[in-house]
Amino acid sequence: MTDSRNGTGGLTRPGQGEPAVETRGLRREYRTRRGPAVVALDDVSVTVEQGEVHGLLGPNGAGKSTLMKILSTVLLPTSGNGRVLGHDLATEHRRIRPLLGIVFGGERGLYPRLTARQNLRYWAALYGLTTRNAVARTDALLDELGLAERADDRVETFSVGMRQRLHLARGIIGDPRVLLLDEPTNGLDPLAARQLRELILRLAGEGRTVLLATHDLAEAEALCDRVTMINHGRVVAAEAPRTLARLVPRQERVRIRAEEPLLDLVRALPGTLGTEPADDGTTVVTVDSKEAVGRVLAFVVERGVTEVRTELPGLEEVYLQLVHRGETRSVVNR
Amino acid sequence: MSLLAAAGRFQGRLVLTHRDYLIDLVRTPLLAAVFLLLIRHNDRPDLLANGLLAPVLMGVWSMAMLISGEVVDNDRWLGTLELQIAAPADFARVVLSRVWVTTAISLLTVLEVAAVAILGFGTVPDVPHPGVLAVGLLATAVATAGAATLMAALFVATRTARTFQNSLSYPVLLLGGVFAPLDRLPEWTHPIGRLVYLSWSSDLLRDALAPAAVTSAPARTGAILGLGLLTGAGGRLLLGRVVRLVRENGTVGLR
Repeated sequence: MTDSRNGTGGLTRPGQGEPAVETRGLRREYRTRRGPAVVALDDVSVTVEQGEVHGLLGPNGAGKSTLMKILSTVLLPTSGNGRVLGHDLATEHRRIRPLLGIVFGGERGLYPRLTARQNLRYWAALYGLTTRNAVARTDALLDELGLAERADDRVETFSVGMRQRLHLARGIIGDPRVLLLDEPTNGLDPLAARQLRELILRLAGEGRTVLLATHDLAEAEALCDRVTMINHGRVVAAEAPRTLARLVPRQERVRIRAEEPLLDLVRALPGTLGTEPADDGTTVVTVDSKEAVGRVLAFVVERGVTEVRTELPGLEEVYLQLVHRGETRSVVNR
Repeated sequence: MSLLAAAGRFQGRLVLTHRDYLIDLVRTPLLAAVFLLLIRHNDRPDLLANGLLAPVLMGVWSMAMLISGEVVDNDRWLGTLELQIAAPADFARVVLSRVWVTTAISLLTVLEVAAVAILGFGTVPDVPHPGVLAVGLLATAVATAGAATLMAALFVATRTARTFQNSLSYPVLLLGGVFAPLDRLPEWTHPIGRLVYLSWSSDLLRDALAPAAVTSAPARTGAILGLGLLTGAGGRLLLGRVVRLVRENGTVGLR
């Protein structure tokens, strides 16, 4: 990604087949009454293409929510530039707002004492829908998200999963082109989380761009075309989940089912970095190169091990390595 | 128009589900009873108009101030304030669209006070100028909605606005001639009081209950509306500035 295309701080001008979301050198500081300012985001450059499901991964406090707030126009960056569908975040927020749908996770964002229908009708008005369109859109969304039967019940009587579906309905009431989802499955049980993920994929299938902030790696791996990893307010890596695994090429893995004396011998092989027992009773051997993989494979097969396979590290391991080691990489293209 | 109607309907429902928002509808008849009792005890029937109007104007003001704060405070707590600011609708219009319903509901205090006078004290209020009374009340409600928008800006700016609001109410009611006509207050207060729309409201409404002809009613109604709209415009401007400020310092959603 080049940064000096057209004198707009490296950003694409509107009408150039612009990305859905594009930030360059975004920085956000929070002033404190005493002591130095806290840096929540530092030099964050992210590009999300139209129609993409993009994950924003990072531990709590990494800066994901700050970035989401800046993109949703409720927070201004201290410095740097950002555009949503070609419109400048700092100066064109009125043009951006109708294009965005925003969903925060957790309990916040709805009126609990009103019904689902009343909530949606209000948000429909805020997104400029006429009364007739608001009625039709509300009914359609309640039906689509499986809330039609409880449409006239107070939200405070809803389960967490139902509330989250209602959050999603509220987020798309204005038929947004870009959907910002901040930890949408937070607090959901596995079944409700899976249902919500299916809904997110369905929405993405309608051509919307989805930016999903999450610390759930499996969720990112299942939903996202690309992920941007953030730690301590900085972008650590940005790639397709599968490609990200290649960022740690030395971490080839061999999964074997073997007993301890043999594992001791495997640990002694050149290039073996370590072993770790897995939940299914197998052992994962981590090695530093493809040669070492071949060495381990030949060694264990010669000794009669029949259950053996090689695998790339999953997103979780990449995440742990990149985020927890604090290793900074600037890989921001596909 | 759609936002005004939809947000108004929404706020009406919200008020009905949060009964504590209607506390002024409970308090106003009690206040009316106190004022009317004092008037009877001191044998001052000439003060009847004051006794009837003071609880009404206090109720209208108090309810609008309560709701303008709650629109911001409660929404901040629910996490809906950020979402409303991020929505395409102009936030000041949203606030105004939600507050006007409340001021409309607060006009029910007129019926309550009349009921207390009739049923509790056997006094049927004489209304020699019902048209002036109706127009004056409506103009007062509109102006109060404007003042509430100004107050909402304060609540967006700071989370401790309630204390300020509580302290501000009595000086405004006093300068607004709600308890006694402005000309009974020290002279130096008159120029300040005339900038408070309530002083024009209370004078006009008192005159509407007096047998003498009401002079310059259209101009005085215009003063109420003008000051109210000016306050509302100031509120809208301030709200825009404050929203910009909280977007800069990152305190929109802080609870």
